[in-house]
Amino acid sequence: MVMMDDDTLDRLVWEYYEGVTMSEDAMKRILHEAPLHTVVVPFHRRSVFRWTAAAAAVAMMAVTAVGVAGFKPSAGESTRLAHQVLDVYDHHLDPDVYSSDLQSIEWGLNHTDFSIVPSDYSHLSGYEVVGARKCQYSGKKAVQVILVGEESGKEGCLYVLPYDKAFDRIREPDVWVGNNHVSMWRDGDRMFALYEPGK
Amino acid sequence: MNDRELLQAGFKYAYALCHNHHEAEDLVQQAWFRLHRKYGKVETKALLFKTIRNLIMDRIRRDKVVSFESVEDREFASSAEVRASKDDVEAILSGLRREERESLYLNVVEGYTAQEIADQTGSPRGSILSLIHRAKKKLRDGLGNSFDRAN
Repeated sequence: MVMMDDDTLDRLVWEYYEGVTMSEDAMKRILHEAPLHTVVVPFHRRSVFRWTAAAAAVAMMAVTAVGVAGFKPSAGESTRLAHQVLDVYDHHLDPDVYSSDLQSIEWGLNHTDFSIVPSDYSHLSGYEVVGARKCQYSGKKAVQVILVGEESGKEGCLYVLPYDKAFDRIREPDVWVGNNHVSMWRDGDRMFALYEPGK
Repeated sequence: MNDRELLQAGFKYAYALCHNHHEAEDLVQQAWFRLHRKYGKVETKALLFKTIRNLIMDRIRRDKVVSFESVEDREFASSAEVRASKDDVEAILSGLRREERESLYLNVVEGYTAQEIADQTGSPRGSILSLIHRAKKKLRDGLGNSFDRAN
Protein backbone atom coordinates (compact mmCIF):
# COMPACT_ATOMS: atom_id res chain seq x y z
CA MET A 1 0.00 0.00 0.00
CA VAL A 2 1.26 3.44 -0.90
CA MET A 3 0.64 5.97 1.85
CA MET A 4 0.49 9.71 1.62
CA ASP A 5 2.77 11.48 4.05
CA ASP A 6 2.50 15.10 5.10
CA ASP A 7 5.09 16.28 2.58
CA THR A 8 3.24 14.71 -0.34
CA LEU A 9 -0.05 16.13 0.85
CA ASP A 10 1.49 19.58 1.31
CA ARG A 11 2.97 19.42 -2.19
CA LEU A 12 -0.45 18.64 -3.69
CA VAL A 13 -2.03 21.58 -1.89
CA TRP A 14 0.83 23.90 -2.78
CA GLU A 15 0.72 22.87 -6.46
CA TYR A 16 -3.03 23.37 -6.54
CA TYR A 17 -2.84 26.93 -5.24
CA GLU A 18 0.16 27.67 -7.43
CA GLY A 19 -2.19 27.15 -10.35
CA VAL A 20 -4.77 29.57 -8.93
CA THR A 21 -4.01 32.99 -10.37
CA MET A 22 -5.76 36.26 -10.81
CA SER A 23 -6.55 37.13 -14.42
CA GLU A 24 -4.28 39.64 -16.10
CA ASP A 25 -7.26 41.87 -16.94
CA ALA A 26 -8.39 42.05 -13.33
CA MET A 27 -4.88 42.80 -12.14
CA LYS A 28 -4.41 45.62 -14.67
CA ARG A 29 -7.78 47.09 -13.75
CA ILE A 30 -7.03 47.13 -10.02
CA LEU A 31 -3.55 48.59 -10.46
CA HIS A 32 -4.91 51.21 -12.86
CA GLU A 33 -7.79 52.29 -10.62
CA ALA A 34 -6.00 52.11 -7.27
CA PRO A 35 -4.52 55.64 -7.46
CA LEU A 36 -8.06 57.02 -7.85
CA HIS A 37 -8.82 55.71 -4.36
CA THR A 38 -5.74 57.18 -2.74
CA VAL A 39 -6.21 59.90 -0.17
CA VAL A 40 -3.11 61.67 1.12
CA VAL A 41 -2.81 61.21 4.86
CA PRO A 42 -0.96 64.18 6.40
CA PHE A 43 -0.10 62.53 9.67
CA HIS A 44 0.86 58.91 9.88
CA ARG A 45 -0.88 58.04 13.09
CA ARG A 46 0.29 54.46 13.02
CA SER A 47 3.80 55.54 13.99
CA VAL A 48 2.43 56.38 17.44
CA PHE A 49 1.06 52.89 17.74
CA ARG A 50 4.34 51.42 16.55
CA TRP A 51 6.24 53.10 19.39
CA THR A 52 3.56 52.14 21.88
CA ALA A 53 3.65 48.55 20.68
CA ALA A 54 7.45 48.47 20.87
CA ALA A 55 7.40 49.82 24.42
CA ALA A 56 4.76 47.27 25.37
CA ALA A 57 6.81 44.46 23.83
CA VAL A 58 9.90 45.49 25.81
CA ALA A 59 7.82 45.65 28.98
CA MET A 60 6.33 42.22 28.27
CA MET A 61 9.79 40.75 27.68
CA ALA A 62 11.02 42.20 30.94
CA VAL A 63 8.06 40.77 32.83
CA THR A 64 8.49 37.40 31.14
CA ALA A 65 12.22 37.37 31.91
CA VAL A 66 11.53 38.08 35.56
CA GLY A 67 8.89 35.34 35.56
CA VAL A 68 11.21 32.79 33.95
CA ALA A 69 14.04 33.70 36.29
CA GLY A 70 11.70 33.09 39.19
CA PHE A 71 11.05 29.58 37.91
CA LYS A 72 14.60 28.27 37.84
CA PRO A 73 14.37 24.50 37.90
CA SER A 74 15.33 22.98 41.19
CA ALA A 75 17.48 19.89 41.38
CA GLY A 76 14.41 17.68 41.53
CA GLU A 77 14.10 15.39 38.53
CA SER A 78 10.33 15.78 38.41
CA THR A 79 10.66 19.56 38.35
CA ARG A 80 13.37 19.33 35.71
CA LEU A 81 11.20 17.18 33.47
CA ALA A 82 8.15 19.38 34.07
CA HIS A 83 10.11 22.46 33.04
CA GLN A 84 11.46 20.69 29.98
CA VAL A 85 7.91 19.86 28.94
CA LEU A 86 6.88 23.47 29.40
CA ASP A 87 9.94 24.69 27.51
CA VAL A 88 9.11 22.47 24.56
CA TYR A 89 5.51 23.64 24.66
CA ASP A 90 6.55 27.27 24.85
CA HIS A 91 8.54 27.00 21.65
CA HIS A 92 5.24 26.96 19.79
CA LEU A 93 6.60 24.80 17.03
CA ASP A 94 4.23 23.08 14.66
CA PRO A 95 3.85 19.31 14.44
CA ASP A 96 6.04 17.46 11.94
CA VAL A 97 3.14 15.09 11.33
CA TYR A 98 -0.58 15.73 11.59
CA SER A 99 -2.72 12.76 12.59
CA SER A 100 -5.09 11.73 15.34
CA ASP A 101 -3.72 8.21 15.41
CA LEU A 102 -0.57 7.61 17.46
CA GLN A 103 0.40 4.53 15.43
CA SER A 104 0.22 6.58 12.25
CA ILE A 105 2.25 9.33 13.88
CA GLU A 106 4.97 6.81 14.71
CA TRP A 107 5.08 5.82 11.07
CA GLY A 108 5.04 9.42 9.92
CA LEU A 109 7.90 10.47 12.19
CA ASN A 110 10.15 7.70 10.83
CA HIS A 111 12.16 5.79 13.43
CA THR A 112 11.22 7.11 16.82
CA ASP A 113 13.25 4.23 18.34
CA PHE A 114 10.48 3.71 20.85
CA SER A 115 6.73 3.45 20.71
CA ILE A 116 4.74 6.52 21.57
CA VAL A 117 1.51 4.58 22.03
CA PRO A 118 0.65 4.37 25.75
CA SER A 119 -0.61 1.08 27.12
CA ASP A 120 -3.33 3.03 28.90
CA TYR A 121 -5.21 5.83 27.16
CA SER A 122 -7.06 7.04 30.25
CA HIS A 123 -4.66 9.96 30.71
CA LEU A 124 -5.63 11.26 27.28
CA SER A 125 -9.39 11.16 27.74
CA GLY A 126 -10.95 14.49 26.84
CA TYR A 127 -8.18 15.31 24.38
CA GLU A 128 -7.96 15.15 20.62
CA VAL A 129 -4.55 14.19 19.25
CA VAL A 130 -3.71 16.48 16.32
CA GLY A 131 -0.09 15.61 15.55
CA ALA A 132 3.44 15.33 16.87
CA ARG A 133 6.99 16.48 16.40
CA LYS A 134 10.38 15.15 17.32
CA CYS A 135 12.29 16.90 20.07
CA GLN A 136 15.04 16.21 22.57
CA TYR A 137 15.45 15.73 26.28
CA SER A 138 18.99 15.95 27.65
CA GLY A 139 20.33 15.27 24.18
CA LYS A 140 18.18 12.18 23.67
CA LYS A 141 15.33 11.70 21.21
CA ALA A 142 11.86 12.42 22.48
CA VAL A 143 8.48 13.06 20.91
CA GLN A 144 6.01 15.81 21.67
CA VAL A 145 2.42 14.86 20.86
CA ILE A 146 0.14 17.86 20.44
CA LEU A 147 -3.27 17.60 22.07
CA VAL A 148 -6.31 19.85 21.99
CA GLY A 149 -8.98 19.71 24.67
CA GLU A 150 -12.19 18.42 23.09
CA GLU A 151 -14.34 20.81 25.08
CA SER A 152 -11.96 23.57 26.12
CA GLY A 153 -10.06 23.85 22.84
CA LYS A 154 -6.96 24.45 24.94
CA GLU A 155 -3.71 23.00 23.77
CA GLY A 156 -1.76 20.46 25.80
CA CYS A 157 1.04 18.10 25.01
CA LEU A 158 2.15 14.59 25.75
CA TYR A 159 5.87 14.24 26.04
CA VAL A 160 7.23 10.72 25.36
CA LEU A 161 10.83 9.66 25.90
CA PRO A 162 12.79 6.49 26.62
CA TYR A 163 13.00 5.68 30.30
CA ASP A 164 16.24 6.74 31.91
CA LYS A 165 17.69 5.81 35.30
CA ALA A 166 17.56 9.47 36.25
CA PHE A 167 13.78 9.22 36.32
CA ASP A 168 14.06 6.86 39.30
CA ARG A 169 14.64 10.03 41.29
CA ILE A 170 11.19 11.36 40.43
CA ARG A 171 9.39 11.65 43.74
CA GLU A 172 6.48 13.85 42.75
CA PRO A 173 4.53 12.63 39.66
CA ASP A 174 2.34 15.74 39.64
CA VAL A 175 3.97 19.14 39.34
CA TRP A 176 2.35 22.54 39.13
CA VAL A 177 4.25 25.34 37.44
CA GLY A 178 2.12 28.40 37.93
CA ASN A 179 -1.33 27.38 36.71
CA ASN A 180 0.04 24.66 34.47
CA HIS A 181 -0.06 21.02 35.47
CA VAL A 182 2.42 18.33 34.41
CA SER A 183 1.78 14.70 35.33
CA MET A 184 4.45 12.05 34.79
CA TRP A 185 4.31 8.28 34.72
CA ARG A 186 6.41 5.32 33.66
CA ASP A 187 5.05 3.00 31.01
CA GLY A 188 7.44 0.07 30.51
CA ASP A 189 10.65 1.37 28.99
CA ARG A 190 9.21 4.82 28.36
CA MET A 191 8.44 7.92 30.35
CA PHE A 192 5.30 9.92 29.65
CA ALA A 193 4.68 13.49 30.76
CA LEU A 194 1.35 15.18 30.14
CA TYR A 195 1.20 18.95 30.11
CA GLU A 196 -2.20 20.49 30.76
CA PRO A 197 -2.65 24.23 30.52
CA GLY A 198 -3.98 26.18 33.46
CA LYS A 199 -7.67 26.70 33.87
CA MET B 1 7.23 42.04 -2.92
CA ASN B 2 5.92 44.29 -5.68
CA ASP B 3 2.27 45.20 -6.29
CA ARG B 4 1.66 42.43 -8.80
CA GLU B 5 3.06 39.80 -6.43
CA LEU B 6 1.03 41.23 -3.57
CA LEU B 7 -2.13 41.11 -5.68
CA GLN B 8 -1.51 37.50 -6.67
CA ALA B 9 -0.83 36.52 -3.07
CA GLY B 10 -3.97 38.32 -1.98
CA PHE B 11 -5.97 36.62 -4.69
CA LYS B 12 -4.77 33.14 -3.70
CA TYR B 13 -5.63 33.82 -0.07
CA ALA B 14 -9.06 35.19 -0.99
CA TYR B 15 -9.63 32.16 -3.18
CA ALA B 16 -8.63 29.88 -0.31
CA LEU B 17 -11.28 31.59 1.79
CA CYS B 18 -14.20 31.60 -0.64
CA HIS B 19 -13.19 29.13 -3.38
CA ASN B 20 -14.87 31.26 -6.01
CA HIS B 21 -12.81 33.00 -8.69
CA HIS B 22 -15.05 36.05 -9.18
CA GLU B 23 -15.65 36.57 -5.48
CA ALA B 24 -11.91 36.28 -4.82
CA GLU B 25 -11.16 38.96 -7.42
CA ASP B 26 -13.85 41.17 -5.96
CA LEU B 27 -12.48 40.74 -2.43
CA VAL B 28 -8.93 41.58 -3.49
CA GLN B 29 -10.11 44.63 -5.40
CA GLN B 30 -12.12 45.93 -2.44
CA ALA B 31 -9.26 45.27 -0.04
CA TRP B 32 -6.74 46.90 -2.35
CA PHE B 33 -8.82 50.05 -2.79
CA ARG B 34 -9.62 50.22 0.91
CA LEU B 35 -5.91 50.13 1.81
CA HIS B 36 -5.15 52.75 -0.81
CA ARG B 37 -7.81 55.01 0.68
CA LYS B 38 -6.38 54.52 4.16
CA TYR B 39 -2.62 54.43 3.60
CA GLY B 40 -2.08 55.52 0.02
CA LYS B 41 -0.59 52.13 -0.85
CA VAL B 42 -0.56 48.48 0.14
CA GLU B 43 2.45 48.02 2.36
CA THR B 44 2.47 44.42 3.49
CA LYS B 45 0.98 41.06 2.65
CA ALA B 46 -0.15 40.65 6.26
CA LEU B 47 -2.19 43.82 6.09
CA LEU B 48 -3.70 42.83 2.75
CA PHE B 49 -4.64 39.40 4.13
CA LYS B 50 -6.17 40.96 7.22
CA THR B 51 -8.27 43.33 5.12
CA ILE B 52 -9.44 40.53 2.85
CA ARG B 53 -10.33 38.47 5.89
CA ASN B 54 -12.28 41.33 7.44
CA LEU B 55 -14.19 41.83 4.20
CA ILE B 56 -15.24 38.21 3.92
CA MET B 57 -16.21 38.10 7.59
CA ASP B 58 -18.38 41.18 7.00
CA ARG B 59 -20.05 39.43 4.07
CA ILE B 60 -20.66 36.30 6.10
CA ARG B 61 -22.19 38.33 8.91
CA ARG B 62 -24.30 40.28 6.42
CA ASP B 63 -25.50 37.25 4.48
CA LYS B 64 -25.79 35.18 7.66
CA VAL B 65 -26.41 31.97 5.78
CA VAL B 66 -23.30 30.27 4.51
CA SER B 67 -23.66 26.76 3.26
CA PHE B 68 -20.81 24.37 2.89
CA GLU B 69 -21.11 21.03 1.25
CA SER B 70 -19.82 18.39 3.59
CA VAL B 71 -16.77 16.61 2.32
CA GLU B 72 -18.27 13.34 3.51
CA ASP B 73 -21.18 13.76 1.10
CA ARG B 74 -18.99 13.82 -1.93
CA GLU B 75 -17.69 10.95 -3.96
CA PHE B 76 -14.04 10.81 -4.78
CA ALA B 77 -11.99 8.63 -7.00
CA SER B 78 -10.07 6.11 -4.95
CA SER B 79 -6.52 5.27 -5.91
CA ALA B 80 -3.91 3.00 -4.42
CA GLU B 81 -1.21 5.29 -5.68
CA VAL B 82 -0.15 8.66 -4.38
CA ARG B 83 -1.55 10.46 -7.38
CA ALA B 84 -4.30 12.98 -7.48
CA SER B 85 -5.71 15.15 -10.19
CA LYS B 86 -6.20 18.86 -9.75
CA ASP B 87 -9.96 18.27 -9.94
CA ASP B 88 -9.81 15.81 -7.03
CA VAL B 89 -7.87 18.26 -4.89
CA GLU B 90 -10.18 21.11 -5.84
CA ALA B 91 -13.30 19.08 -5.06
CA ILE B 92 -12.01 18.17 -1.63
CA LEU B 93 -10.73 21.65 -0.83
CA SER B 94 -14.02 23.23 -1.83
CA GLY B 95 -15.80 20.83 0.51
CA LEU B 96 -13.72 21.86 3.51
CA ARG B 97 -15.00 24.36 6.03
CA ARG B 98 -13.75 27.86 5.32
CA GLU B 99 -11.74 27.91 8.54
CA GLU B 100 -10.09 24.60 7.66
CA ARG B 101 -9.19 25.76 4.17
CA GLU B 102 -7.85 29.07 5.44
CA SER B 103 -5.62 27.48 8.08
CA LEU B 104 -4.39 24.86 5.63
CA TYR B 105 -3.60 27.50 3.00
CA LEU B 106 -1.77 29.82 5.38
CA ASN B 107 0.22 26.91 6.82
CA VAL B 108 1.08 24.97 3.68
CA VAL B 109 1.26 27.64 0.98
CA GLU B 110 2.23 30.77 2.91
CA GLY B 111 4.37 28.88 5.41
CA TYR B 112 2.84 30.49 8.51
CA THR B 113 3.17 28.59 11.77
CA ALA B 114 0.07 27.71 13.71
CA GLN B 115 0.94 30.46 16.20
CA GLU B 116 1.23 33.04 13.42
CA ILE B 117 -2.14 31.96 12.01
CA ALA B 118 -3.60 32.15 15.51
CA ASP B 119 -2.27 35.69 15.88
CA GLN B 120 -3.69 36.68 12.52
CA THR B 121 -7.12 35.13 12.94
CA GLY B 122 -7.59 35.64 16.66
CA SER B 123 -8.19 31.94 17.29
CA PRO B 124 -6.28 29.86 19.85
CA ARG B 125 -3.25 27.97 18.50
CA GLY B 126 -4.86 24.69 19.56
CA SER B 127 -7.88 25.40 17.39
CA ILE B 128 -5.64 26.20 14.42
CA LEU B 129 -3.71 22.96 14.88
CA SER B 130 -6.99 21.10 15.05
CA LEU B 131 -8.25 22.78 11.86
CA ILE B 132 -5.07 21.94 9.95
CA HIS B 133 -5.21 18.37 11.19
CA ARG B 134 -8.85 17.95 10.14
CA ALA B 135 -8.27 19.53 6.74
CA LYS B 136 -5.38 17.16 6.07
CA LYS B 137 -7.34 14.17 7.26
CA LYS B 138 -10.21 15.01 4.91
CA LEU B 139 -7.77 15.42 2.05
CA ARG B 140 -6.13 12.08 2.79
CA ASP B 141 -9.44 10.31 3.14
CA GLY B 142 -10.82 12.00 0.05
CA LEU B 143 -7.83 11.10 -2.05
CA GLY B 144 -8.16 7.48 -1.04
CA ASN B 145 -4.87 7.32 0.75
CA SER B 146 -5.86 7.61 4.35
CA PHE B 147 -2.77 8.18 6.37
CA ASP B 148 -4.75 7.41 9.49
CA ARG B 149 -5.63 3.99 8.19
CA ALA B 150 -2.07 3.21 7.19
CA ASN B 151 -1.40 0.86 10.03
